[in-house]
Amino acid sequence: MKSENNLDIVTNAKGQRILLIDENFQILEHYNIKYDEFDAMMFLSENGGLVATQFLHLNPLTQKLFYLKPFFINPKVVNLPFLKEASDGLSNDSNEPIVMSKIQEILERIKELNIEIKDEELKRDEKTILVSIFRFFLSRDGIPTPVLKKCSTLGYTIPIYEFYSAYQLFPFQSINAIYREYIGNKYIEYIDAIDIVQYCKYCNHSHIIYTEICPKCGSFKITLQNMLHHFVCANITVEASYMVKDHLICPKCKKELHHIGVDYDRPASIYKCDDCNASFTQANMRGTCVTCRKVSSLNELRRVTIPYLKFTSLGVKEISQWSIYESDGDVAVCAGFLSLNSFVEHITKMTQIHNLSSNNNELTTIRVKGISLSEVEAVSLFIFNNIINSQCTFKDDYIYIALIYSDENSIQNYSKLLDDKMKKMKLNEYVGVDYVNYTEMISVKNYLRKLF
Amino acid sequence: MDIILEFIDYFLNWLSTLTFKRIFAMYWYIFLFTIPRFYVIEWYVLLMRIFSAGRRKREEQAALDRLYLEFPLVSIIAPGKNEGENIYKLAISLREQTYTNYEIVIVDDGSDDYSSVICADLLKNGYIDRFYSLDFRGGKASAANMALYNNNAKYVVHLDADSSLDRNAIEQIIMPFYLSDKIKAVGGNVKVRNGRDSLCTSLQELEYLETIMISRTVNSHLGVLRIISGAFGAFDMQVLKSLGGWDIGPGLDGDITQKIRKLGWDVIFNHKSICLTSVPVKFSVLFKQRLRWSKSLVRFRVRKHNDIFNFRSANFKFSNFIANLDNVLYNFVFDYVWIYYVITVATNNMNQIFMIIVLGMIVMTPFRITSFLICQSFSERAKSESYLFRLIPLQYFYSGVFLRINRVIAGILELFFFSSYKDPWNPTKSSFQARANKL
Repeated sequence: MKSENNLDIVTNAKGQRILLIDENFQILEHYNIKYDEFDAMMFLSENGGLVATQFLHLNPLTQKLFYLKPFFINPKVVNLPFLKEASDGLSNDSNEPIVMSKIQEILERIKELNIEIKDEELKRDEKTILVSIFRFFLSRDGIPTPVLKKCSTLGYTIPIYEFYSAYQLFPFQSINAIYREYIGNKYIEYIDAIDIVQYCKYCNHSHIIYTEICPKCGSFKITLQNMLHHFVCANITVEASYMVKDHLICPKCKKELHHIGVDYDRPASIYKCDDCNASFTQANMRGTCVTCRKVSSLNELRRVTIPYLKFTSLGVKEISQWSIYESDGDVAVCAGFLSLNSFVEHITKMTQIHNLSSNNNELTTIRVKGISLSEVEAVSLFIFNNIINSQCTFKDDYIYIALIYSDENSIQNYSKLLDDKMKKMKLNEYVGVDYVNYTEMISVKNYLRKLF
Repeated sequence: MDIILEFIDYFLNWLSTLTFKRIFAMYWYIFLFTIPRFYVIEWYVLLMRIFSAGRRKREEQAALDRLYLEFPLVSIIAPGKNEGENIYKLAISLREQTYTNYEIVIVDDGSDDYSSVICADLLKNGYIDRFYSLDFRGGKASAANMALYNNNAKYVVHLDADSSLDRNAIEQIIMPFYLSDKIKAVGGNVKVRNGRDSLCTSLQELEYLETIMISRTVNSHLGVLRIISGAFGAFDMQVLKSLGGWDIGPGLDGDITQKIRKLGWDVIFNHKSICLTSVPVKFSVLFKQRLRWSKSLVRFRVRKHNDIFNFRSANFKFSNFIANLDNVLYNFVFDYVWIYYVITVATNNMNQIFMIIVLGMIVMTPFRITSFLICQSFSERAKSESYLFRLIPLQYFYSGVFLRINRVIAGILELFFFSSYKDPWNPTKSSFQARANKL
């Protein structure tokens, strides 16, 4: 049934109006579409790429007309990474009971939370998108939750973040800093660990092949053998030495073993190395990174907890009322820019990675860009314990700060000091680009020039 | 004071009434069994050793040279349950050894504490060379046999996990293998580490000096050494493997020695190879430990290896016969004779029993002092052991009464009630099978 605006809207058995978006749907043709005209959307195309493009224009996070509306995707859709998991369901039947109940559930929840949309909330910067995503999940009584993803370098991903990140609408790398801030403000809280993942210390990828190796020579050519203990004579050797055709005959006393637990047991499994002939009960493990092909021992890999978070009641209130955004002065204004917190998080991370792969105390250089020259001058006032003033140089509108981190504490101290100092000077907008060494400095500088 | 003087006067009067016949009637056990076996023979052997000391020294030096020339791999094995904390101390003491070509193999026999974690950590940090953890406790024998798996060392040194060694102990315990090709097992000199902890430990320290350091030296010299102590003993790997390792205990150390002897190989004792071990601090614990040891004598020497007494047996060897006979007589049969002796003497001389005990102590004291002096002359730490001298009077009650009663009880329990099979020292599953198979 076509609406006044020539939209394909169907009303299901529960009276819910569902906007059908087929392959021919063009949003520009429907400029006079109204928010109250439909209750939910259903993407009918089986072409994933097309659905993704349509979703960008009709999405319930950044588009006012579709804000927080339930949306469903054709179950037959192919080649649609991330979005399937983020949708409210896979269906192309508006009368499907699960679709009806889901729509009702979401609409009631939005009403309950009293979420209202304002124009300024729909900016495409990192935090507004994140708050919108949070609102979207609040209206679904959920929270963005990491899920296992084959194509994710980290093993886990939050599909909706990946989707926006893929279209450069969402700075995925800053999410940890924002989360940390929100946890600090008690908007969200840590409930449990979903998993603890080990990442390559060199490239931070989780795609690692684990191999059992000989602790003596490191060879992977090891075989596991069951040890068999004959109670009567206390003989204990590999099971194979007992095997005579189909019978178990003790090689020491020549008696036949009939009954496990009565005549014998298997108290251990022993590895034997084919290369060095060593035997051991516990093999060592090594991890080979599929991405960078570097080999690490198990304790060299980075252990990262994948958290399960929950909105607090304060968080629900603040997010519903959008005050979470207003109270925060630390926000970058341009897409692709990092906030101060993101920047600190970024350099902390990069320095940790850097320190893992090199000696402590190695010089790490951070580039910081000031918005204006006066602010750049202010930045030059940074003289902290771990910042060597003599290493600070000005070039054009960039400042190069050389840092020596000796341990995690000093990084944290630095982050805190930097944070305080920045707030005092009312400097909110900075971009941390990368850590570089002196030989890379020039190329990064050129890159920054292009970027800004 | 008057009472003492009065007693001395009475005692001297009583002495003057004694005839030789009467003295023999009162102390026949000592004259017939104790003095000839424990003093006359031992002194004679030790005298012989003094005469041959120079030759022995040259032979030992030559053996030591051959040992270092070949420099074989020695596998030091320490099986045990819940011994994690002791393993570290053991590994540290082994690092000080003058002989360096060894590996440390630890077998955790189903510990229910943090032993396996500790040992895994020691392995990781290079304190030990191999570590096997058994999920289920199988007993000391199976744990020791586990250590033989995939073991290519030439010699095996079996240690208790709570032992520690003198710096040259490994060198000294391996050296005798190079004295003769016939020697396939060597016993180490086990001494008490915690001798000053209590009266109980001090008495054991003195006992160990006499019964291990001196007696085993004598037995070894006579070719009748019947036990390689489980706390510290070395074995030829090939022989050990040909025997299938240790059999189920308790008393597995005596059993393995017996089996090696039966094969016709020599076993000897080297008092210079010193291992320190901790002994029970309380008499109650000591009593239980000795019950177990004494029961094993009945179980293994009287029952399992009774073919040694069979002249017609293919395995019969006179030295084995003597070794076992000596053991069975002095640690089993004569204890019952002693009970008879005490009862008859007491009933016949009820009103003079105190005097008889005092005179017995006076008679034995020169022998015991001489024995102690011999221990001092043998010991490398004579000065620190000299304090044991004052314990000589207590030996009458410790060795003469306490240990003897212990052996009597153990003998009855084992002989009639097979109680070693109920000992928790072995897991029930193994004991049950051992009993069923009359082992």
